[in-house]
Amino acid sequence: MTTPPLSPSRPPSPPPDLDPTDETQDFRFLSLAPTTSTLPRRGEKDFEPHGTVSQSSTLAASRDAMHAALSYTRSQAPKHALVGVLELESGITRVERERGIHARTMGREKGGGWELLPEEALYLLERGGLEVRWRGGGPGEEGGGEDEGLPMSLQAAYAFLVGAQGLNVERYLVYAGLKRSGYVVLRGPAWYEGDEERHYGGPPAAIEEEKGWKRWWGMLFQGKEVGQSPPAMGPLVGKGFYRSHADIYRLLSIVPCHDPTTATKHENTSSASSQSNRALEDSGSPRLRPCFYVWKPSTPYKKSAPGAPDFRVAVLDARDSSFPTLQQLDDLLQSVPYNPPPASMERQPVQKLKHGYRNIILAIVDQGVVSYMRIADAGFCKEKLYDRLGRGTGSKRGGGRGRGRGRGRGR
Amino acid sequence: MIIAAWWPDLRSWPWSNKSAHQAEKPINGRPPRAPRPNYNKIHAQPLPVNAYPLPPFIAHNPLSWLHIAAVYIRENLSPPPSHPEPHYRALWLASTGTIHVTDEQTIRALWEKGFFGKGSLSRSEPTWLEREKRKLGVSAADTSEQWTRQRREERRQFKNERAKKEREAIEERLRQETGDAANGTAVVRSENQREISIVHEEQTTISSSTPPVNGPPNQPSSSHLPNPPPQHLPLPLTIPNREHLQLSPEETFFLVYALDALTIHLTPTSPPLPLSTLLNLLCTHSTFPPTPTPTIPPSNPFLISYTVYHHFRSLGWVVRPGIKFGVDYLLYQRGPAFAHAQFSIVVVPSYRHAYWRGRQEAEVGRKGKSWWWVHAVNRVQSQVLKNLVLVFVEVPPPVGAGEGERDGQGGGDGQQGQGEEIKDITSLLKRYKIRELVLKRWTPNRSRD
Repeated sequence: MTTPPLSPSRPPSPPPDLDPTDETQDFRFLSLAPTTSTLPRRGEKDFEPHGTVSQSSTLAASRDAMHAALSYTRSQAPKHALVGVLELESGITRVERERGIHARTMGREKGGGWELLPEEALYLLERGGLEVRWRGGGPGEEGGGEDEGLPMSLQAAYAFLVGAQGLNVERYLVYAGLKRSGYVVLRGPAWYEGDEERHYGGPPAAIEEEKGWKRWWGMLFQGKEVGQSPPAMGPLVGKGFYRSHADIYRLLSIVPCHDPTTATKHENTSSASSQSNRALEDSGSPRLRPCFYVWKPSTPYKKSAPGAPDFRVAVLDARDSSFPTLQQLDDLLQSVPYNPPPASMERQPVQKLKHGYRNIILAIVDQGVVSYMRIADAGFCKEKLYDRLGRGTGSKRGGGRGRGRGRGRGR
Repeated sequence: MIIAAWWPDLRSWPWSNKSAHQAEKPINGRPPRAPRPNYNKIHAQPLPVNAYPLPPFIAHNPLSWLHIAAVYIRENLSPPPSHPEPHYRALWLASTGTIHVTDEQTIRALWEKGFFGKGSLSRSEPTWLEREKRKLGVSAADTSEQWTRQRREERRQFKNERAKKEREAIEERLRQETGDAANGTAVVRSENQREISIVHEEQTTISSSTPPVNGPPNQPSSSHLPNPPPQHLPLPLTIPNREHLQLSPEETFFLVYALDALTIHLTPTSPPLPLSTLLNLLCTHSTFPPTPTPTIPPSNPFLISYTVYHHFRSLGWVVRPGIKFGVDYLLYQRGPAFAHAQFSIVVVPSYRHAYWRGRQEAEVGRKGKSWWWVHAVNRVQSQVLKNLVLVFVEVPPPVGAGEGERDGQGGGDGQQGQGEEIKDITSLLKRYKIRELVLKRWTPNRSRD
């Protein structure tokens, strides 16, 4: 028997990536919220009622706090009210004057006013920060004073804005979820189906040079390079005298693998894009693209100079797509810039592999529930573990965790 | 100053005895454990092929110069053998399609140098004999299975203790509250009594199903220790070792083809199998039921999985089967004796070449894995603190089918090149291409910084 979940009176819009049945929430912190500046911690979980008065009073206090928080009357001074007019043809909502904190990250200036994209307007409308009006007197009626437009209902706004400008429900859910978590979210350049997004080539030339220099150094000091081709039916490592295991491992490496520090086959952007497009069309699988650029809340963001995004998000519907094929993923990863592991990870091979050389975030939407997954080009062939054999394992010298007490999760 | 950068030295690890000392100190008042074996020494060779690095060069110590010179001269005059002589031997069992190693020294060598194979009666390292000896009181050596059992026992005891303390705290609070209320209503009291009786029921179920913490006085507590060495048994003179080492097909082929350290025999007295015969056997048995064909297409499951196995082995990883975690392989940095696996591998064949279009293999692959499958695998891996890696293997067309054709240019018409008798496995392996993608769940709430 568990404490009943308080679902009927949940806050109106829970973040879609949190399962509210995951945890029984203690809402007592809400009553403290106005007085404290930091986020309050959640209370401890009780799994079953044990009949003590203290437990039941705690539960009652939590419920009261939640109801008090929900019953708080939110009001808005008329001078802060944002009123926009929706242009049905373009899906753009026009606001006369921008106000408030959202103007810093949303919408764009145009002709003295402020233009909102469908997802931005819908998000602000959902939050209660914007009032959308019909243009003119009503739908289908042209003319009439601009200020005489009637307020649009939430249902009508959804009906008109979802579907406008390539916005679908999946994309809006991802957008709204990320916005509610505090991120700055903008459309990527490949928003529409036909858009040609940039195809990024390999790494900057400086890295290539360094590689060449390193190879030269390696040839000089790391022992002999593999000269003759390995025998057709083995053995790859014949009888002989070997000074180090690295020599043996070098003889073993014959399987080609993808080198993430070079572009796969796209040299220049325009022809590469159309080429991989054709290859994908041939295979019959749709093309994936990063449709949102996302900046962390902590990243200083300027509307005039956004800078490189922290994450690139592609949105997929879980019901009508399966895990992408290698072709799709390759195409997708080529469309994001080269982002190698930072130099601080030089001595941590596992961290480097986890970071990868290019990465993209897939948002998989299943009937309103969003699950995010990060995919990165690991580049195992750039991490020659055998070169580290004599040196131990970086920070985990002396054999790592080994047989610790009570931290085993399987070997 | 030690300069050993050119030739990493495996003979002297500076931290080689640390772990043994640490184990002797009692931690948190628990009884001390026997010192662990020095795994750095036992597993100094990462492969069954030996390498002989020079001893460390110490600039200010002339003795080390002499030592290096002596070793250098001696090894040049009579080079020590790189490969085991004679070859390690293993048996192919046609009835089960498995490969067994029964010689004890070979078993030890294969396990110690590169963690090959699995003990047929053990979790991974073949320790059945040690455990038997310990059970019979002949030996006091510890095995990893016993460590695990003991750790689980300790954890369960800890949890029982904690649950007991929590129960007592609740009971205490109940007593206080009823005491505070002095003449509390009967309803409250009866509720409390019901709770207490539930608690008592729980206690009895716990004590009946699992050994209790500080058991009831009529049971000797020592009986709950894992495998107590009984003292009054007569010591048997010898215990026959009933355990053998089983090698996976990929391990076998790696040891035979790549390292030339192992030979496979059909019977203990028969001559070793030639490599092409062995390859054919392994490819045939990679499907169920075995499908004997004279020609082997590159889409054969064994060829694909061996490509992946060989790739990661050649990079220096210790590759072990990952069925316990629902994946194809696990990657260990130095081996399972040192640390947990860091990565778990799922092999995904990719039929990108035009030759495969419309063929059965490609159609199965093109439908792709469902998102539910991907999430399930990923959840399991994050639960066991491993990183999921999807390894895509681009399968080449058979030789002769895709000659001179580029991607997307129309493939063979199905008649030619169904597969071939493999005469050049090295160049076949060179035609596969591997790409690794790391998958990780991304949570917006934790990526904010």
